[in-house]
Amino acid sequence: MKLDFSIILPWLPNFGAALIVTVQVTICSLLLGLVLSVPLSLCKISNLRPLQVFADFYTSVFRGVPLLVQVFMMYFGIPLVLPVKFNAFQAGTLVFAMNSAAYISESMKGGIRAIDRGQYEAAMALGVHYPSMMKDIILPQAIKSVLPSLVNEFISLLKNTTLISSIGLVDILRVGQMIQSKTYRAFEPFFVIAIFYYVLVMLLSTLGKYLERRVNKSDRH
Amino acid sequence: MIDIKGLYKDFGALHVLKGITLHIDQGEIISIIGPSGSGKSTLLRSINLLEEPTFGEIWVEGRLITPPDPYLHPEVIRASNTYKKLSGTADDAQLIARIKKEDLLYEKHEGAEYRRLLREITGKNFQSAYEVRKKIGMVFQHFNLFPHMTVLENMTYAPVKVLGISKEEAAERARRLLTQVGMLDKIGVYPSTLSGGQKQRVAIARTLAMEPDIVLFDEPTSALDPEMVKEVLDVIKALAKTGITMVLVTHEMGFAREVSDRIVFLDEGVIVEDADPATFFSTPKSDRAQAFLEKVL
Repeated sequence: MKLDFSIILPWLPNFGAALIVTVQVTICSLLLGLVLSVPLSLCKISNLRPLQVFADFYTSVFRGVPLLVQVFMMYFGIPLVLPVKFNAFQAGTLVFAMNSAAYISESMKGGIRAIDRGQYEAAMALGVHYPSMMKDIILPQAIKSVLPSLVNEFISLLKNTTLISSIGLVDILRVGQMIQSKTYRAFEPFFVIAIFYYVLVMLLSTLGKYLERRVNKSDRH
Repeated sequence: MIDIKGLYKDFGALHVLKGITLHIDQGEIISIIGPSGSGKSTLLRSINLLEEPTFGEIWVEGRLITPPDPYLHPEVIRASNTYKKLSGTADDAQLIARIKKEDLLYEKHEGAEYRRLLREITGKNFQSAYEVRKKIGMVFQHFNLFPHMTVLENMTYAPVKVLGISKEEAAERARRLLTQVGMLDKIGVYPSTLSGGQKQRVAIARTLAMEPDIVLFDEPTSALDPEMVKEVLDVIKALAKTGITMVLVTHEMGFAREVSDRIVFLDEGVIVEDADPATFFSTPKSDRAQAFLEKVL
């Protein structure tokens, strides 16, 4: 079979719009996931048993249920039993965010635990209150040590966003499926899509390396 | 200035401090020495509540920083249901001694009057850990500088955050103190670029930036290479001349002898000797202090 990439050309505007959707979903879920992961990791390291149990249960649910099932649950299932209504973008972003929060909080927990007891003691001895101590002393150091796994999490998040095409949002993958059904060609559109994702992931990991270098400047001798 | 009364500290089944009573006056410089495992650091760390005492009370500047200990207040014991139940079996003094010795009080069963008296002691005198830590600085064995902050940020963070002074004032204070410890040229660097001795000098300056009334030193030179010990001791010596109250845990016997007003010798969780340095080092009274000094001098 002869390959003809020119069939993609008329779809470029659709790809452009879809790329924006993919990036939007990724960034929104990433930020929301990070925000959610902080209280979650604090619960995990807390001395209060109920908070610990809650956070561990939360993580086990999001780890234990396939992501596609979570997406369907949020989009089709929840609105039937609760008085809420999501569009596909909101449902997808919320699920991805809650899902990443589960994973990020787990590595954040490790990062917080790895911080020397002396850092807490120095902060306490200076009269610093718990919230400021966590915000200004402990978490900045913990985030630094979890940055590599954070970048991994962002990358899998970006790739996972393809699942929102299954609830009807037009992301990059969905455009490919549209081309396929219109032109009966599969190689060209999916090849282009593969390249799209590959480039995006490369950009993310470069950004990750840059960030890592920046936060490590305090270690330089 | 600091009053430690009947202090006990258990770590599970391990009894680290067994009834410490110690008074420290304003401006006094006290060295706590003793074999390792004798409870020196635990005692020091209790003063700013990095360790919570199991029993006993600590008073700082006339105010209570621990929960009140009923066993230290005969009138509270007399108000307890346990005392009332047992009264008649022995005279007052014997009964109080027995209740203390056998740890018979049980908070929940001692009645309203007992709890009211305890609350009264707390209400009149209590200050929180946060309040007291503003006034008591601590210098650690391992410095514990914040690695993600520059020297300047290390020094201004708590004064701005905790004392609420302006950034400019805090920076001014930092420059003055860094000059004092000979570290002004390192004001903009991160701690990882400093040697151990330099880190400890910055850590001392950071503690002083809170303008504490009391400074606790927890083996400040134990983690240093030998050639760096002197520069840190010199800074502490200079500080000792300013009239600030200091409590040191140290293994540097010559230094303890030189700077201290009093030596407190601790062994197995009790104070065995409490004397001026000349007396302690030349004619220690107890066998245990003699044996210890023979080993370290």
